[in-house]
Amino acid sequence: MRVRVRLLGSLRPTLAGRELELELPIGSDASTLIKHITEKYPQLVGMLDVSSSGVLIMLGGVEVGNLQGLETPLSDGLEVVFVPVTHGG
Amino acid sequence: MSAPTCTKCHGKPSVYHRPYSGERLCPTCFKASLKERVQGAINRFKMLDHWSRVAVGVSGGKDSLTLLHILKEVEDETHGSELIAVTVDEGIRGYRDEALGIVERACKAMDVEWRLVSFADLFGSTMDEIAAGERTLGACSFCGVLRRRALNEVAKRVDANRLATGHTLDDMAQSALLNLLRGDLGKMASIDPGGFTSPGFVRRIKPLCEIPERETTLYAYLQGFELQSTPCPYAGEAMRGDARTFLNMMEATRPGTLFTTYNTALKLIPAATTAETMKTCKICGEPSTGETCRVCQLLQDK
Repeated sequence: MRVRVRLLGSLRPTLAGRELELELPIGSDASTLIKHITEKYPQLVGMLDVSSSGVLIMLGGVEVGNLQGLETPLSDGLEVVFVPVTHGG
Repeated sequence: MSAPTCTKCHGKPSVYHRPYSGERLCPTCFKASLKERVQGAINRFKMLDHWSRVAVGVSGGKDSLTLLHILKEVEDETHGSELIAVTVDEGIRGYRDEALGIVERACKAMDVEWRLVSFADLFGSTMDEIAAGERTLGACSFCGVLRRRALNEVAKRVDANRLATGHTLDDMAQSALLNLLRGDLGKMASIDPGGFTSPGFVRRIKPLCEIPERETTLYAYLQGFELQSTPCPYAGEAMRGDARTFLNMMEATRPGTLFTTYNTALKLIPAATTAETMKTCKICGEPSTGETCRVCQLLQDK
């Protein structure tokens, strides 16, 4: 299955503002997605960590904490947006 | 993947779960709840009178844009206060340039007057120049002190009787913890979200004092605000960063920690107020807690 990823704010320069399309195994969850992204972009290690409150992860417009957290299963065609929390007042 | 129904309107699907209250909110109820909480803080701390003239510190970050947007809505419906967005250009190449564009576009979209003041105009040096020079203190220590003075100065110039800043619950809790760790009870008085009146000072208010930073972020996202992509090159104030990491960890495992820390600090304010008395700086004449204010001390040392 394919998911589309957008990084906002201070995370944005990593993809130079572009959208990322990732092919993931069927049944992948949010934690698998983060693993794939950080393998591809090691500079993001630690910056997509939802447990440290550093980022909001929006799965199809719903914050991951309102679903099953990082164990939320992803679906084909889903848009995932990472919004950094700790940058900029 | 389906989200539970909003616990407030019981109609729309929720997008956000508040671990500290158990609420699950749809975008409409989430935004309304932030507005209600800001309104509640304004009333409880008597931050505004009818027709106040409020300078709103807008840096271009998500917190200050959220502050401006909510204040505009709240004030249009209640006190009718006049808002003027004020921005300090510290002179940090790249970082501040991007933010100024964001602020300008946001103020235009919200139909709010905008005023800009710079370190170069006020202090004769940009932050980049100060950072490049020899100094004993970290860049953030300089910048914080000078920015506070600059905001007060621009608020006076626009004849504001209040200066609203985008300090969130996280900022309040971090400051409380830092004051405790530094043993600085006197500074605890500055936690007061309603501020205080003193000659030479425009009363400083913090309407977002009870909004966690995660929620200002979500508000900014839901509103579609431009989010700054360039981090400040001088960021990395070690002690506040440590306090932030610790409090975030505690909040994740024990939801409500930020509110408890903040509420405890509020209870200490009466004792703190008597520990801190304002004087006048012997060099510049501005309000100061010592014989010489922090701005003059820093500018002499740089």
